[in-house]
Amino acid sequence: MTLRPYIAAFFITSAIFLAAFGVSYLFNTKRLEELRTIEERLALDILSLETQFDLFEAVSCSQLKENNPITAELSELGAKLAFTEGELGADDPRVVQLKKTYTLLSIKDLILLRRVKERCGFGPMPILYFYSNKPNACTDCERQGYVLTRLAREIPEVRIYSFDYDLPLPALNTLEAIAEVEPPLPVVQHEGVTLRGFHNFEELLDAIPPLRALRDAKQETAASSSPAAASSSSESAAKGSPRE
Amino acid sequence: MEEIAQGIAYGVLFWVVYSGVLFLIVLLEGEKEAPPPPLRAARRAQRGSLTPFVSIIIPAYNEERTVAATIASALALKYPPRRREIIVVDDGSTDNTARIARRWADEHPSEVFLIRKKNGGKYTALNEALKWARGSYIVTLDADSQPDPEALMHLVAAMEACPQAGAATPAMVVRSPRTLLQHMQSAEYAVSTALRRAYAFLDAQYVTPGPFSIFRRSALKDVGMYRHAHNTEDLEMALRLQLHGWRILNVPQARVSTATPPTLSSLLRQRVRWSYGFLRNVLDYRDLLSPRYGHLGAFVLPNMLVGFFGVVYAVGFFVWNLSRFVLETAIQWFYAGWHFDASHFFDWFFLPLNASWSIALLSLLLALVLLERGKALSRADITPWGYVSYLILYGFLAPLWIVRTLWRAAVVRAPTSWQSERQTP
Repeated sequence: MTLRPYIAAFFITSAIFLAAFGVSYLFNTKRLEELRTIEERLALDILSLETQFDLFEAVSCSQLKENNPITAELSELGAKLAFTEGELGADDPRVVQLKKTYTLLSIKDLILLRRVKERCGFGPMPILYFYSNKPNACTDCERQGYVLTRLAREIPEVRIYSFDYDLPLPALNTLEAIAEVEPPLPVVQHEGVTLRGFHNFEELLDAIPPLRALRDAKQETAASSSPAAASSSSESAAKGSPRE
Repeated sequence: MEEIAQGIAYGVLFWVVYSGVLFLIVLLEGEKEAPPPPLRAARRAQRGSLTPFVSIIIPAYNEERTVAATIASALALKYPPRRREIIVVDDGSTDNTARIARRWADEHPSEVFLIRKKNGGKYTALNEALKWARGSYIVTLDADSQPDPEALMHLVAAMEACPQAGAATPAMVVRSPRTLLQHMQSAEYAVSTALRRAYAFLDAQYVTPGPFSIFRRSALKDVGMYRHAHNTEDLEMALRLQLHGWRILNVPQARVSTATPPTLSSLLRQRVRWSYGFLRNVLDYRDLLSPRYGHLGAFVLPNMLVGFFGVVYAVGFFVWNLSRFVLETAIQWFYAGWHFDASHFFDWFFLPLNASWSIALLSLLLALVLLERGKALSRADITPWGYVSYLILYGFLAPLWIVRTLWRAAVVRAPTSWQSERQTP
């Protein structure tokens, strides 16, 4: 009984598996590279905006209003980071590192947004969302994330800032301490209103009146304009959550 | 826990790919070393003065719709008429099978013979015919199958060239597939043709299919008559031949078309009978599970046994993950509403290019190569529906009958009889 075909088959199968894992590794490396590139671009955009803001006297509010690519970039980064997290696992050190950078950028963007709003009186409406990825730590976080996705899609003026409560990041810990966020999660927060536990779409609108006002205004505008115009307006929604 | 489940799934996937690669290597190397004999050689063999006498046995039970075509195809076989006999055994049919066979016997009195007996099962019908058969070769021909005219010549030529051969198997193709499941089976039969050829190169065939296998009379004398064998007498006979050291050849040039179950329920019944028969017969012949019996005992039979559980696990794992995905999508749809992000669809970043998908795609490619090779060997006509249904459906259907088989084996209940599955005229 010759063993030659058995040995040959073993080597060929091993080569097939190695190739498959190799392809997977290659693509994941490319994905991580792209994420880093987006983060670098985003960091540069934020720095640029901060600098513009520091030079406030030289820059008008209208200019600040026009030159803000951050929303779309944060949204793209969030979606891609969520996908990578699904592929490599939430515990992967490379994912954790990217997530830390993403969180820092989100916090910086939040601070900037508040400053712009304070000085110029315009800007998106920030909603802070704290979740946990730990098993059994937050059974409602998944569906809360979906509700917030819908919120961001239906009311583009809203910007969701999602934070992984368990991420070991001093800046995030400080934000959590300032916002007095503690388990049980999920926690949704806006301008002093803190909502603990799961809240559906209508409950969120009820708990945060400015949201309802924005949504009603949106509906009125949609009703008075053409259907095509109404649908295109919701496409620019920011997701901003790695879970979405 | 999830990591362990995934690790086992990768192990099963490795085993599946390994088996496929191994049989492909054996097939390609075997064909390179032993190219199929040209038809001329077979014809020359039949022109010799010592053309062996062949008995073709057609066991039939309630086959009034197909038996006439089967007898006609046996008569159309290119073989000296005086060197063959066709024995139709009516196994106590309650329809017109006996009357139709009688008419053929009356019209061809020197070639077609009819034996009538009380219903006792296929193996009793075969044994009854064996008592009367005069041939030095015995060919079994299921009453719903029709061989190509050249098929018998090829089988006899192969047997004559190999005195150690106790039997030889043909290439089977699906006759006139109509339903999607029959198209799927036509592709499956092509893969089986390739695998059977590979098993033959390893001297490890474990079934001599009823549709048109040939047996050396002396081999049957050596190993004994047919047995009930859990309603899979063709499988048991092959194992018994292997146990007694007879070789089983495969002759894909000998082609036979056969009827296949058209519906899911009849297909499941047939496959449960086959799988159950396989398990029980391998259990009865467990001595064969040893390297002493070459590739058959060292790899092919153990591989089939592992396959029973491996396939169920792999598909169970896939279905579990698919259900999770569907549930998650449903929850997302419920809370976030339907939203299709076209930018994600066209962005390479979101392509599911991971190891599992790559290996799954490669496995499909491997199945496709085996399918193509089997198609070439059996000259089968496979429609695009056949390809699609086999590559997509088969993986989900096979676990159905495997699970049912394991369940039946566990509660020790014999599956259905041999006749009721084949309903295609």
